[in-house]
Amino acid sequence: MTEREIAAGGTQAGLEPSPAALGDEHGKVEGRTQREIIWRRFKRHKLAMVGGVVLLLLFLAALAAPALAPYEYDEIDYTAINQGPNASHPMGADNLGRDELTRVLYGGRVSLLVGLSVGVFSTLLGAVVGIVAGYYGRFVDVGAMGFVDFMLTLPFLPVLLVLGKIYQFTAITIAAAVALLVWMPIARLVRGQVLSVRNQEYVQAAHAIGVSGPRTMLRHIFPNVVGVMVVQATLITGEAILIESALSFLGLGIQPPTPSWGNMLEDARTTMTTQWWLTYFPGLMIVVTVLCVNFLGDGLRDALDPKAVE
Amino acid sequence: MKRKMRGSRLILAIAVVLLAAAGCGGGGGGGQGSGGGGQGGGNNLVVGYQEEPKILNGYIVGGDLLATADMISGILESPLQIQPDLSYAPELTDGDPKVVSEDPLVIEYKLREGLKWSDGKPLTSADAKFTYEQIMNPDNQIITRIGWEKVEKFETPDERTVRLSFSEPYAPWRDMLVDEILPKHVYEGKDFNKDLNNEVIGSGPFKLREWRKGESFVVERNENYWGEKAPLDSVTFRFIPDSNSLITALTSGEVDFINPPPDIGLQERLEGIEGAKVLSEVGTQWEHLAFNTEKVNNLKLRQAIAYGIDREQIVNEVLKGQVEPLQSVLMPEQGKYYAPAWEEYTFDQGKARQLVEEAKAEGAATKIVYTTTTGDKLRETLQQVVQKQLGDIGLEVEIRNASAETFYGEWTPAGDYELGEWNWFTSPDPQVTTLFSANQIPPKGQNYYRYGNEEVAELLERSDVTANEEERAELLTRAQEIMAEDVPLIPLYQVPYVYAHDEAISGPEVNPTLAGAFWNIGKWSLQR
Amino acid sequence: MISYVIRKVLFSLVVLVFASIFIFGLVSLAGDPLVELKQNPRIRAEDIQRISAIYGLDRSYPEQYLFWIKGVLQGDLGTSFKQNAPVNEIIGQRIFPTVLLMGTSILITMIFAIPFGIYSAIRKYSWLDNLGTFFAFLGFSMPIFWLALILQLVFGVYLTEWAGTRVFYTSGISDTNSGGGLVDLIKHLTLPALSLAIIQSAVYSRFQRSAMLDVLSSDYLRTARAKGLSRRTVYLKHALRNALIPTVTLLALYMGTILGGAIITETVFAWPGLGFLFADALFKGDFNVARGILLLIAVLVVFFNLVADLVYAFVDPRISYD
Repeated sequence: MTEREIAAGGTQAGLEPSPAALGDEHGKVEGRTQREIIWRRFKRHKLAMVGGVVLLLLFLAALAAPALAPYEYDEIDYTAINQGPNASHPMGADNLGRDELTRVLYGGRVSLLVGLSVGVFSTLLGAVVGIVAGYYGRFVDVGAMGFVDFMLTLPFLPVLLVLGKIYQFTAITIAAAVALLVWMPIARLVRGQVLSVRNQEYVQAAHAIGVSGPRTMLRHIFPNVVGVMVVQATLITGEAILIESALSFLGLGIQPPTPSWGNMLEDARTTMTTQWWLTYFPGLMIVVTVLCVNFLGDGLRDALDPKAVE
Repeated sequence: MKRKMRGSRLILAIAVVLLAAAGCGGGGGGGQGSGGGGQGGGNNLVVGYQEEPKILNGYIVGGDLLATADMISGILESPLQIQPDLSYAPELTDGDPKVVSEDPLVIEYKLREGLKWSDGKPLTSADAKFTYEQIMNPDNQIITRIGWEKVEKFETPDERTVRLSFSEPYAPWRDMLVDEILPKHVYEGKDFNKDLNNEVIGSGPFKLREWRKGESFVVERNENYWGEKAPLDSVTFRFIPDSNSLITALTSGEVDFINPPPDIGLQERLEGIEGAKVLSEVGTQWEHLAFNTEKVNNLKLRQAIAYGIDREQIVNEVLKGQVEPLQSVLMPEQGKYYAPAWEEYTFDQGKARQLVEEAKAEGAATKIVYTTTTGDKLRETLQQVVQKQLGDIGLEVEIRNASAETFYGEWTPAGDYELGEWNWFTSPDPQVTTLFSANQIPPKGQNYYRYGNEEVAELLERSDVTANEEERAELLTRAQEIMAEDVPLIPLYQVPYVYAHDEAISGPEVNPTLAGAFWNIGKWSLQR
Repeated sequence: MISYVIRKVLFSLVVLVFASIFIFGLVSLAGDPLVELKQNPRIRAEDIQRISAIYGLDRSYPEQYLFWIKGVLQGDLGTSFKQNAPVNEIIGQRIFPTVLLMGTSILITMIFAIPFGIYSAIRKYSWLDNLGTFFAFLGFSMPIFWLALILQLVFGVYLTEWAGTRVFYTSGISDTNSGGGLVDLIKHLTLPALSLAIIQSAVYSRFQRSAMLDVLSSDYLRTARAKGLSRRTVYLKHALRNALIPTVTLLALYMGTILGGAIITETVFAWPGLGFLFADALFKGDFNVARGILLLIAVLVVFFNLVADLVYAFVDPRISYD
C-alpha cells in the first residue's frame, strides 16, 4: 500500500471526535450564533485563512485560464524551445517552446478539478452509505459494512494502477476511480456518528411522533456529521491532487497533450538539473495547493470541533 | 477504562513484535564482511540496466525480451554474429557457411576447432543438433520455429560439421544461425521449459555467477574460454527500472555503463555528466506512421498527409537532429535491398492542401484519429508536432492513445485505429513479408495496415524464396516503390541508441541491431 | 462470545471470497499477457494460439478463476506466465526487502513523530508546535516521487561529489562487489527509508497530536487534574497511555498493508520489494504474480482487522456479542 494511504487514514482518524459531545450541542444552539462561533474560531486560525484565500485565488485563476493565459497551452514555438523564464515567458518554455505559465494555468484546471471532484464525490458517497447503514441498522448495516470491509481489503494504489491499465484515465475517470476507492473510512466515521446520534433522546422523540426516516436523517443527523464531512472533503481534495501526480509518475495519469500539474512534473523530471523551471513551477503549485488545502482542513476542524474551548 | 488499557497493551505488543522482526531482519540481512569502497573497483564493471529479464532461456515464452538477450550475450554463442554494419560474421563457425544447393536450400557450416563449454567439455555438432531438436520438440514452449520448420534434415557428418537441408529455397537462413547453441551434456533429459530459466551454461567469454532477482545479474570471466579471455573480471547488471534513477546512478558513479531508452533531451543531459562518454547511433528499429488502409481508404488523403508532414522538422526539433528521416521500410544499412522510395514525399504544404481538397471532394473525412502508446514522451511530443502540421493543411487530428498492451494487443491487430504510430525491429535479413503481404492480414500475420495490394504480396513472397541476392533485391525494390505510391505508412526515422559510460571503459561499440549493447562485451576493458 | 467470534470469522471469509473474485477479474481485464509476442515480427498467429493454450488463456474467465482459486486454497498462487516459475517463490523472494524497508521507515517515524506529536499537543501553539505543524504539512504536500528525486540529487549526487566518497546509494539494496555487510546495507537503505519516513512522520505526528489533544480535553483527565494530581503524573501516567492507543491501532492495521510495499519509492530507488514487483508484473502482463500480491495483501488486511475487532470485543465491555 502506499505512503499516501496512511495520510488519508491518519487524518481521518485524527479528527474522530467523541460522539456524545457532538450530539448535544448542535441541537441546542441556534444556527446563526453557531455559525458566528465557527467563523470566529476559523478566523483565529491564520494559516487556514491564508490557505483559504490562496486556494480561492488558484481556483479563480484556473477558471479564468483562457482569459489569463498569454498563449494556447498547445501552442508550439520552435524559437522558444527550452527558454528560461523571461519577459515573454515568465515561467519559461518547454521542449516544444510552449509557454510554461499557460500550461501551469491550464494544468491547474485539470488538477484542481480532479482534487475537488474526488473530495466532493467520495465524501458524499461515504456519507450516504454511512447514514443509511447507521440509521436503518440490521441487515442494511451488515451489508453496507461488509461492503466497506471488502473495499478496504483492496490496496489503494495497486488497484488504481490496474484500473488505469484497463481504462485510459482522463480527468473525470481518475476522479471517479479515486473517489470509489477512498470513501470507506468516511462511511465508517459517519456511521459511528449516526449510531450515537440515533440513540439521542431528541431523535427518538422525533421518531416517536411519527417523523419519517429520511426526514429524521436530514433534519437531525445530517447537521451532526456535516462538520466531519467538510473536513474530510478538504483533506481528500489534497490527497487526490497528489494521487494524480503519482499516477503520472507511473505513466497512467492524465495523458498529454492535456496538461496537468502531475504530468508536467513527471515529463520534466529527467531535465530537472538542466531546465529547472519545468519542474519547479508545477511542483511548487502542487505543494502550495495541497499545503493550503491541509491548512484549510486543519482550520475547519478546529472551528467545527464543538469540544474546543472558547 | 482499565480493561481498555489491556487491549491497547496487546495491540502494542503485536506492533512491537512486528517491528522487532523487521528490525532484526535489518540486522541480519547483510551477510559477511564490511562494505566500504566505491562501486566496482578492480576489473569489475557495473552496468545500470533498466529491465530485468524474466528467464534466461531465449527460445521459450518469456525469453522474448531484449533483456534476456542482453544478459546471455556474453555467455552463450551462436554460429554467426550480427556485426554493427549488419553483416554476419562467424562466431562459432570456421569461416562462412557454405551454400551447397539453392533449390532446395542446403547449407553446411564447420565449427571452429577447440571450442569448449565453460565447464571444459568440448562443443560439437551434437550440441547444435540437440539445440535444433529442442526447437522442434512440440512439448517445448518455443516462441517461434520460423525457418527451422523448413529444415527437413539436420545432419552432423562429423564432430565439427553441420548440414541443414531445407524443403524449399529459403533466403533468410542466416537469421537462423544467430540463434545460440546450447550444451547438450548439461540439458539433456531436463525440462526445457523450466530448467534453463534461472541458470545457463555457455561457451562465451563470461559465465553466470549469480542472479539476485529484482536486484542484479552477475557474470564473471570464463577461464575456460576457447578464445581470447575477457579483460574484465566480472560484469554486474544492476536493475534500475526508472530511467531518471538510471541516469542519476551514472552521475553519482554507482554504475559505469547505461543504455537508457531514447528520450527528448537525453543526449544533452548525458553529455553534461562529468567523466562520461556518450555514444549514439541509429538502430534498426524504425518508427513510422501507419494507416489502417481500410479506414483511411482514400489514397489522396494518405498522400496529402505524407506531403503535409515535415519529417525534417520532426527529426530536427523533436530528435534534435540525431537522426535523418527514413525513406523506406528497410534500412539504408541493408545496402542493395534498400530503396529510398518515400523520398518523393518532401514537405509541400501547397500540394498537401490541394490533395486534401481533392480527397474531400471524393468524400473523405478531414478528421483523423491519431493513436499510439502512452507513456512514451518522445511519441507524445512527436504527436503534438504532427497534430500541428496536419492542422496547417486543414486536417483535424484527435489524439487517442492506449497502453502498449491495449495498443499492440488489441487495437492494431483488430484494426481499431486510423492513424497509428509504432516501430518495428528489423533483422539484417530484409524479410518484411509478414508485415505487408495481403495474405498476412490479422489474425494470420502482422499486416496491421490491412494493406491489400496483391502485387506487393506476390513480390514479397517471391523474394523470400529467392536465394540469389541480386534477384531478391530487385523484387524488394519493386515492392518498396509500389508501397510508397500506395502510402499504407509513412516511415519516420530509425530509433537512435544512446549509451553513456565511464571514460575509463574502452570497448563499447553501438550495434544497431538486436544483437544489443553487449554484443562484444568479451572485449571491453577498464583502466581505472 | 464464541458465537460472536465464529460470526466474525465467517464474515471475514465471505469478504475474502469476494475479494478473490474481484482481484482475479480485475487483473484479467488489465490487458493481454502475450502482447510482447504480438509485437514481434518473427512470431506468427499460430504461435500465439499455441502459447495461449499452454497458459489456459483460451478458456473462459470463470474456468480460469476456478482453476486459480483451487490452487490458492492449497497454498499455491499459480505459475508466472513470464518466468514459468511458482508465484509463491517469486513473491517470497521480495518479502524480506519490503519488510525491511517498511519496518525501518516506520521505526524512524515512531522515534520522531510520536514524541513530537505528544509534545506539540501539550505545548499547543508554541513556536515549536507551529514549526512542526508547518513541516508536517509540507511533508504530506509533497508528491513522493518528487521528494525521492530531491533526496537522490542532494544525498546521492551532490553529497558524494562534496565528500569525495560515497555516503549513500541512490539505487539498489546492496553492492555486489564489496561483499555487502551491514554498513553497505545502511548506505543503500537510508534514502528510500528516509523518503518514506518523512511523509509518514508528517502523518503520524499530526495524528498523535490530535489523539493527545482529544485525551487532554476528556472528562476523566479533567477529573484527574481536579483531584490535584500533578501535571506530570496526569500527562505521563494517564494521558500518554490513552493517547497511544489510536496510534498503535492505526499502526497495527497498517501492518496488513505493508506487504504492498511502496510502489513509487521502490521504483525510484530500484528497491527489490513487492511494490516494485507488483508494478513490473502488472505492466509486463505477468498477471498471476500481480494477483498473488493483491490477494496476499487482502488476506493480511482482513486478518489484522479481525484481530483488532476481536481484541476490542474482548477488552471493551461496551461491545455486546449477540
